Amino acid sequence: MKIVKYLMSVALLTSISSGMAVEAAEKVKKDPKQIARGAKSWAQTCGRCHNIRAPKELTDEEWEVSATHMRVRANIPGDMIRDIVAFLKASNNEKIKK
Amino acid sequence: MYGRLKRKILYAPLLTGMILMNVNIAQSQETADDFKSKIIELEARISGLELLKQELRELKKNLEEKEKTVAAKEEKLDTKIKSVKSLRKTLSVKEAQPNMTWHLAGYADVGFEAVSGDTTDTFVAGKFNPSFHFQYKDWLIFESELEIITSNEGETDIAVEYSQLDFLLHDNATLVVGKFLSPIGQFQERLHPSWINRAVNMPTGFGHGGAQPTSDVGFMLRGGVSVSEFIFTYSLAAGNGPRFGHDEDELELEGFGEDNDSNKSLGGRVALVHKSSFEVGFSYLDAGLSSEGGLQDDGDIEPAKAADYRLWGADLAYSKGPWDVRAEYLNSKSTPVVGEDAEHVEEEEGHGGAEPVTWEAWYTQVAYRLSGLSDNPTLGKIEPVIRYGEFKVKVDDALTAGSEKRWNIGLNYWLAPTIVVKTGIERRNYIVATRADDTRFQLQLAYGF
Repeated sequence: MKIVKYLMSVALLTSISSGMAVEAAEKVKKDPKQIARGAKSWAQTCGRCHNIRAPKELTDEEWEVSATHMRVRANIPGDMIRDIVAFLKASNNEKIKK
Repeated sequence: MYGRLKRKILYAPLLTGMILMNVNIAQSQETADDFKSKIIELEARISGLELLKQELRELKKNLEEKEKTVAAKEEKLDTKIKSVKSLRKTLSVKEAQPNMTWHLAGYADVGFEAVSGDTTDTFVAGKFNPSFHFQYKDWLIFESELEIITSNEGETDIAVEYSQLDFLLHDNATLVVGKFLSPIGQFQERLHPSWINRAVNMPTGFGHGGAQPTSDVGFMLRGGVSVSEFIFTYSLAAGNGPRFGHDEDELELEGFGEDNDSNKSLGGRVALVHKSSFEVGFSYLDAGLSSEGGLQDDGDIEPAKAADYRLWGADLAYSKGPWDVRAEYLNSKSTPVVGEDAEHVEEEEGHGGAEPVTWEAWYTQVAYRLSGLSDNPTLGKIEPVIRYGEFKVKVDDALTAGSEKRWNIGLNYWLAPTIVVKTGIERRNYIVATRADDTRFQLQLAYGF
């Protein structure tokens, strides 16, 4: 009986800790401020040269490529581009849900 | 009478009993028949039940066989479903994370231009510039832009504006290899597409035939670094560099696929961009020019010559909300090389000789979108623009005929963020008196995609 309790306790602790680890990993992956930063950077950097395009004009995949092109052309730092792409994708997905 | 009645009374029960007896006998006789018939009926039913039982057995047997068949088919179906699910998973993974993604972009324009004092009012075929972007994972992108135009003679001219491989080395560094647009200044690299350029034409002295190289072939290290409220940007390039042109006041400034000497061009641009959307940039380029000389296509004898080519420039930009304000200055100079550095150079007076040549070009431009003044959706799409620029070319301190002062006043109507109808008046005052001034009335429709 003690052995069963011990095993159940271990299983419970393992599942909790693994759940916490996954949650922590997701927190690292999903920076909650990234989209807000991306929106700001999108407005500031894209408008430096041309009118700003609406997120719905391109698909997520096209934004990835287009953003990389603009990263090179306009010397935009890589982390800033990732924020902008996250914002554009989030805006696109929001529209699809509607 | 009484006797008769008595007899009747006595006989009545007897008669009744006899009648009843007869009835009972008759009844007992019918029950036996019925019994027989019932037995027959029951036997028939029993045999029917036996048949039903047999049928049920057969049905059960059939059912069991069918169940077995269905179970076998279900098993097969499950296997197929699993394989389809596995395939779908594989395919969806491929769709979600492909190694290579691409995007077709570019721009096109058409227009009309009427020139004062000239009969060559003309529709302008404009140009079609498709731009291809192919990205491999997150570390490489190939990009190329073609320029396809219909020449004045009706022929189709195709040119490669740029064709480059970009290696994304780091968040703050990208290595560009191939033919790239010149990073000098801001107009040539970033503002020349017609859907971005606020006026119909390029500023005088910028673009093809202007003061700076339009492109080069070589490599470039570039990137941006966020520092507090600024982004520091840099583009440092090495390439084959420019060549002497046919005329002394001209250089061939397109990127060449092969270097005609060992002199490489070195230069680039550094800039600071504030978060308030104010940008200031500085450019510099150093290159060597040389020509072995010889007989030209038109029969002229071109002497050997060599020169140093140096360019510097500065640019400013403020683009926020309805405002788009820009200014840019370029100064380039070709200085002949004589003496020990150029043993084979022969100096010659007049055409074809190595003369010092300077090119100076600048412009300032203000565009304002009326959405900053009015909430009216139609008014908000209107954008007045004004630009003034100068382009001076001096050969040995003497201005050439191409030197000019140019005013542009225009009114743009934005049908969409990347589609614009531009109207403009362009006044060209040629500085050298031998060339007559002209005024151009322009209309252009540009679409960026």
